[in-house]
Amino acid sequence: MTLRVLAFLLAVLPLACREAPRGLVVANGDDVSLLHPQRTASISDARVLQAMHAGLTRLDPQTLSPEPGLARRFEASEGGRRWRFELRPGLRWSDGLALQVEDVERSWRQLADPSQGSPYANWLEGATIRTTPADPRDSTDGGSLEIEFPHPQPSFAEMCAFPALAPIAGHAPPEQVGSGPFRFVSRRVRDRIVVERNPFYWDAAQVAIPAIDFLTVDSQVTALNLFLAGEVAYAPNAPELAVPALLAERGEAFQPQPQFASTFLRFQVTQPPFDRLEHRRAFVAAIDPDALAASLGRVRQPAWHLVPPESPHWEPPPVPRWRSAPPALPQPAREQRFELLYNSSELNRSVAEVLQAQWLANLDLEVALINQEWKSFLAAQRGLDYQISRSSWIGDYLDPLAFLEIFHSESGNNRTGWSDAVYDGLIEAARGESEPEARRLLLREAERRLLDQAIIAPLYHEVGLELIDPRLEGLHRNLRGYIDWGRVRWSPEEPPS
Amino acid sequence: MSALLRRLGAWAITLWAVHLATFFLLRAARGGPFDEARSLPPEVEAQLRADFHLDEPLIQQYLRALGGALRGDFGPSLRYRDVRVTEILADALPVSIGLGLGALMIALLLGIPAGLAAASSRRGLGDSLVRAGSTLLLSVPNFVIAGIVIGWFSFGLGWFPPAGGVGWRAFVLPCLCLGLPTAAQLARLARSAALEVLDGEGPRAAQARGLSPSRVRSRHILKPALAPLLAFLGPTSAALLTGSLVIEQVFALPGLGAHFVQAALNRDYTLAVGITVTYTALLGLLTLLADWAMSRVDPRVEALSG
Repeated sequence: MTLRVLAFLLAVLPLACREAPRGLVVANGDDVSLLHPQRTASISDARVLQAMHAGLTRLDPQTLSPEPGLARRFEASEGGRRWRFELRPGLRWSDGLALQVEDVERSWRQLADPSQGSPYANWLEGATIRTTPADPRDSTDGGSLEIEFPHPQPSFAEMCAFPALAPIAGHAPPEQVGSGPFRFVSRRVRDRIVVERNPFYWDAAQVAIPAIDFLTVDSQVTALNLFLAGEVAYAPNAPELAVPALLAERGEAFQPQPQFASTFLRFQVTQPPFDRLEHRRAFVAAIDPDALAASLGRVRQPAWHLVPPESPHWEPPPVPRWRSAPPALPQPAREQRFELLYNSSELNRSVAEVLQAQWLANLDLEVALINQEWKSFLAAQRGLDYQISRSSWIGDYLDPLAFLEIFHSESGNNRTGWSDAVYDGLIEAARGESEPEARRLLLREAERRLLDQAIIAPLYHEVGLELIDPRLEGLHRNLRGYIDWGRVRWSPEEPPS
Repeated sequence: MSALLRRLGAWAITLWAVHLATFFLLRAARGGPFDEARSLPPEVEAQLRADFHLDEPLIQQYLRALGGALRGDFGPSLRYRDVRVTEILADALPVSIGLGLGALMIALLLGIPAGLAAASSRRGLGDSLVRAGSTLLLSVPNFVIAGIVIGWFSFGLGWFPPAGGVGWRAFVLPCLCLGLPTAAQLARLARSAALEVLDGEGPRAAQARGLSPSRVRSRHILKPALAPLLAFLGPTSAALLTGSLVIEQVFALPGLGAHFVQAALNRDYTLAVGITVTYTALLGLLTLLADWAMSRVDPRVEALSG
């Protein structure tokens, strides 16, 4: 009997064993859901897609300013309403077939088509695209493409480095064929995705890593264990509890980095108690973001605004005056039951408890805390079935509009029930404005309005807790967690053991 | 034979009931598979719902799912939209089975000898050690055991990776963490079963008949003591094969356990139904096997005959 069990075990175990990792091994956090660059908005998906798909531009991994990618030249006119891209000649897909400017046009039309299921379908809304095919007699001509938007898109060159705007192959599934520095080798759901150096990448000569294994590691503690044991060279999120120890002992591998992301509270403004401005203001004014950030270990920057201060050329509007002279909460409001809704996580619970204490101390009010798992939480938020809800937002591109447009009354991400003609007008005017300074002033006024109406209560600006093997070069901490895997290499002095 | 058919019939009805309950319970939970922090444009969401038939009346969706399940096809996963549920099961099941079998081997190889040894040195030092050790292992949750084992074997001795890893080495620590509490249970059970047999007439009578001590041990102590162990092993094997969620998460192993919980949290209806039905089938199969083994050891049990 035992022998038979042993024989079965020997038969089954090899099935369960996995192929040997090569090159760089990365703990990629949550499991990758989709390897289609147009169909996912997940950060862990984007990390892999960034390796497999190249954009017309790529970003400087330190400054995030756009540089030529598949396009050797790009230029904007009319304040970013028109863009022209000139492709490199001789571009190829990762299977060796030619990549032409028509492929870019087809991919962008597909992105804008709602039947393709892209969360970014509205990025190219109303745009017209014209291509000039490469001249077959001129080997130095890669063809060109012009895109014209109904309103200026000053960040479009930066957006082109984003996987959603990367050209996707028409002859093969984009899950397998791309144009990035690496190409697909294998995928096992919940285990790993393996990519190898793509010899047809336009900048293949610069790609130094032979292959990357992106491991699924849900647990941040497990990712930290793997990192400390030298099994992985990169992990996107260190566990909150380990932050003080990592700061003290692993300073070369762990340096918290501000992100282009904010955490704030949303108020549901269509129903009592927060349909009344004075109630919202009293609740916002009773929050002390400095004390909150201090209680979270001072890694995060306290927020008084929605737009992160790192926005380029941005000057935030003044903090509303009523925040320093808080209005008293009217007596009838005190008889209400107040609730703060958050999605279950250790950090969110700590934040909620600090806020609860601040409201108790400053308003003498007991606020009930309600936590829900992620999907129920989202459904409650979307259905406006809450009073106050913890929220956060990551900007897709370095522009205050990426944050402010979510509170436009027609945005699906508004989720407060707030509909304000003045605010909508400011956002629309900013969208149509091609003069940078005038646009900034409009956006600044929009944020002032949002804060003055107390639709949200800013809490803190997010921070990246990446663990990066100090022997890696070219993997820089930046505002967006952007990684150009094609430019990552092992330091020549200290090759990995 | 007819008993076997009856069992199989009951098994089929259980599978159907589990399929039905899982399908409707999941739909009753708030939120849907396409809800994310960033809302999809409404027309995109409508298209996705249509693509996966989520816009049909619920009863029609159920009949479609049932028809598929009868053909052994649970449809595409709603989270991994380009992967079918059966492909995910085919990838994850061997990992969970490997982990479960490894743990079972550890439990059997450590638990039964320890229990028998304790019984033969009743109230002696060995007995106290086994009893204290098993109480400790049973009262400490397995993620704590995992932490200790990782600290010791990965960071202290450097023998095994703390998670992930390649080949058999990846399975040693998770199998140990999963198997140790079961080994403790088995040791206690084996000890009390052996004591019961030792106190009975059997061994003494056999000894009086002049049988050799080793023959007395194997035929008159071990075999009668096995019956309660086998009754315990059926459901335990099922629990080991299916209940490794925490261990899979801690060691980042791509088994079914992690999928099981994540599928429900992601509202991945098709995957959650597929895994629940697979687990139920596995549980039924293992119970059947244990009953069959029981009938071989203890002639009073006629589980599958007559």
